[in-house]
Amino acid sequence: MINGFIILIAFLFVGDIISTFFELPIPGAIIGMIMLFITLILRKKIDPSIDLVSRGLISALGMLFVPASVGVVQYFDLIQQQWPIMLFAGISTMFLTLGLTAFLFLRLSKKEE
Amino acid sequence: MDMIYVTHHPLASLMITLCSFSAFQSLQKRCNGHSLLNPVLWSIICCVSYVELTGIDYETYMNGAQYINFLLGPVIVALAVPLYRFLEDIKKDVAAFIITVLIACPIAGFSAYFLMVMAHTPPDLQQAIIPKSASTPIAIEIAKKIGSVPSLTVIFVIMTGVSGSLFSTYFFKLFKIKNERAQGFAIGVASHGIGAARAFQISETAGTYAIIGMSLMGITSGIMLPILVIFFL
Repeated sequence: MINGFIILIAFLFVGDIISTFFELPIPGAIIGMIMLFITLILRKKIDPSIDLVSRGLISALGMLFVPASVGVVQYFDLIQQQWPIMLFAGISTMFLTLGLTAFLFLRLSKKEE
Repeated sequence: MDMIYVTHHPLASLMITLCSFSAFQSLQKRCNGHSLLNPVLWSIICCVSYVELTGIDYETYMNGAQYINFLLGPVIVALAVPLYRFLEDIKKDVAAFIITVLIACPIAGFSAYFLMVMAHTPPDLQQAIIPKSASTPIAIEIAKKIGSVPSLTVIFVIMTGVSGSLFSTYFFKLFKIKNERAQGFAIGVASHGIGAARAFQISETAGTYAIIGMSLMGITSGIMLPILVIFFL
């Protein structure tokens, strides 16, 4: 398990350094993820230690962003004034994305099965 | 002993975060995974109430909760693993997946942005809505990169996720979209992980395609949105 965690942290570390050093707009974690993805493709297998740690972390994914979300306490006034447009913009464009994606995918994907 | 020693202890906020999430997770399981009992939403409400009721400030709360927050970086890297696991499914329709996401990603973010601009909302809110269709940890990173407010972004991300998991099946019925692969993929792209959990209730296939949609949307958003924001806004 420790090895899996070391690998994740190492990719995150290198990704962050690349993002900072080259002043890239892309977050370091995304660069780390892409590097791990390429590594997995090249090695053609998932090490049991990475599998274990990633499963554990992803199963708790929802909980991991609770602390960042609690920061809304600092914006109560803003939300109180703006919640109707926030709801409208958030939900209406969700439907737009949902419909657009289903439409495009049905058009572009191979008709099989 | 004063209660302040209890409420200001870092482990108090850590425990509230862990316990409220765990409690609502098992409650949702007992109620057949009802979307309105989303544990993320309810544990945020619990923790916000805790911060308000005890009168501690956000920084004090973060003293304890930072140990959970720290894991956001590693979990994004870990998302490469499920993406690799579905590599064979992705290869089957690789062009369709990539073209769809490349079009859907900017439209999802900037359609919402322009609605907020047209409604003359404060600039903080306008930028915060852009990464709303990305998986939450990725959306937080994007918000930081474009100089927006991560906690406001999270509100939009959760709104997008919960509304997608509540209404998407009705939407598919209304527009007669019956293909489960398209359904799953669309849910994953439009409402990330919260939607993907719902897609698994439709079928295993829909769930798999939702994970693919969410992962590809996450990567694409992480690369595309900060670049578009820097060059065009």
